[in-house]
Amino acid sequence: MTATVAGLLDRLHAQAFAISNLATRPSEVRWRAQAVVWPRLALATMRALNNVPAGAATDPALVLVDSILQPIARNEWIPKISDLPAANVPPDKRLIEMTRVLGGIADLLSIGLKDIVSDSSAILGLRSNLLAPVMVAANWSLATAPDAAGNMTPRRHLQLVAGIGAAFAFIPVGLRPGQYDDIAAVPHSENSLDAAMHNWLDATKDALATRKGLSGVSLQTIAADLSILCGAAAATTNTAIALGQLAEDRGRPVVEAISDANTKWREASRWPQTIYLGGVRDTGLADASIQLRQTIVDTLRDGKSWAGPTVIATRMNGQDLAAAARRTMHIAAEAAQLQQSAVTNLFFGKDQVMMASRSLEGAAYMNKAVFTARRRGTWIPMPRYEPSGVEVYRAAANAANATTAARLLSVATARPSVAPSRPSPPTTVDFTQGRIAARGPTTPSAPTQRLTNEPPFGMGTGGPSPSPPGPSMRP
Amino acid sequence: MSLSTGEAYGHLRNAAWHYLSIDDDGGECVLLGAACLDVEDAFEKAEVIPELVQDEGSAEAAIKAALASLGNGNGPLVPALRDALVELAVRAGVR
Repeated sequence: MTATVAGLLDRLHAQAFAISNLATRPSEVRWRAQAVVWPRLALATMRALNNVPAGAATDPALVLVDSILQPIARNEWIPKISDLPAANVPPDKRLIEMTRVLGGIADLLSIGLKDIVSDSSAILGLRSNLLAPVMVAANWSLATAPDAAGNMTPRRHLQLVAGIGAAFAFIPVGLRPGQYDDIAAVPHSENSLDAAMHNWLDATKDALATRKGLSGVSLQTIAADLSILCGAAAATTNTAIALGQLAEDRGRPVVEAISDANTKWREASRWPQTIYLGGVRDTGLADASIQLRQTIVDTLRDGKSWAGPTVIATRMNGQDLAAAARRTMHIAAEAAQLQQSAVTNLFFGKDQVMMASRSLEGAAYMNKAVFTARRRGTWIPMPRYEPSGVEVYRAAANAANATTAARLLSVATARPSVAPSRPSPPTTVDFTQGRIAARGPTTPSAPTQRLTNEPPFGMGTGGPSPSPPGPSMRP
Repeated sequence: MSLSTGEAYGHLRNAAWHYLSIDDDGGECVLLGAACLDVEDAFEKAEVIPELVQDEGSAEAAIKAALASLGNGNGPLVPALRDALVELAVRAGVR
């Protein structure tokens, strides 16, 4: 089954929510069972956070989170086992499961999105989706740890984890989705559109990297498949719009851009009869291409046209269709660049394309060999910059550019429809009564009140109920 | 391979050109164009060199012409090429 970052986040948050609903009371045994897992949990969280492509060279938020999680990950946060009485306690299964999921997310994020500019709001959203469940786990462990002198240091570390997690948990859920949620690990053996596309991309890369010489049929097949892939992405996006998964005003321009790329690849796939580059197709490409087309027919088509939204939704087993369309465009864009490079090398490099001798024009090219070939009606090597060759190159370049543009528009649909209002750092300050103060409201804002009064976004913290305020300190 | 297989390949290339030139909303023509390329690959494997042939005006007519050309062909691989062309013709509704 295809695992996506979004899918793993669903699992992580469900586990955290389950933990938050557990009744907790201090227990040395349970605390030990949790404490033994925390270094791995912290390490997995750090890996995931570090694998989110950074928007800037210096990232103060990441440095801060790292400094909080590092001591736990290095197991420097708790007295050594030898200092404590021996206890044979198995590690807590729920925290282990969270650790595994976080590790899976970290692995997926390491794949990254090729040629996509990092998006700061998507980074913030993903960080909050990673740290909010960790906050819940920290609060749960805090509630379990007995308030003993030996636990003071680890409790303090966990309070820091809960605190930084809470700060990120305040990012509203609606503002968190982003392009990185679409990153997926696809089992190549499964019978799915994702698997067929990945297999095809791998085969395309192999075919285009061959040293044995490219064939015209290979290049035309890749271009035709790209047209079909764009058609599939447009049909999937249309379905997402029809089913209300994607707003019409956001999705329609994407469909138009993808349809434009679809048309341009169809044009790039047809070579005039007068141009010929012999050779067979790479066997892997041939198989993957046929499999891709068959999977698209089985999944997205009904007879001679694209299937209706309900049919497609049923066949896609309830997948997020906009995300599936974006993944299709990522694949298409990667292959498009490779195809265009190959065509450029073909027509302007050392490879030798043939052309019909009778269609060659220009007195400069005429010699005895050409005259003989024209009389016999055979193929001759195409001179460089021959107009029909330039036309094929231009078609591929236009199609690749259209695909890149369509992919960018498509990726934008992963963002929330409303742009988050981001507080600017306090670069401007007031100088009041001889003292520096950051500009801003002096009374607590609504989110600040939520931070202290209620569990963030309804997940519950699972931690102890807030203790009543102590006596105020007066000089 | 005989001249007729080269002609059949030439007609097949024209059929692919026509299918890949049609802008249909349903996207069926590009699938048929890709299917033509699959058969072209079979001709390449048989080491057939395409001939420049008269354009028949439509993909369907070009497929018919390719079948007709192959009818006169001889050689050990011609039956396999004919089978591939017939399969394409059936899919395209020509047969």
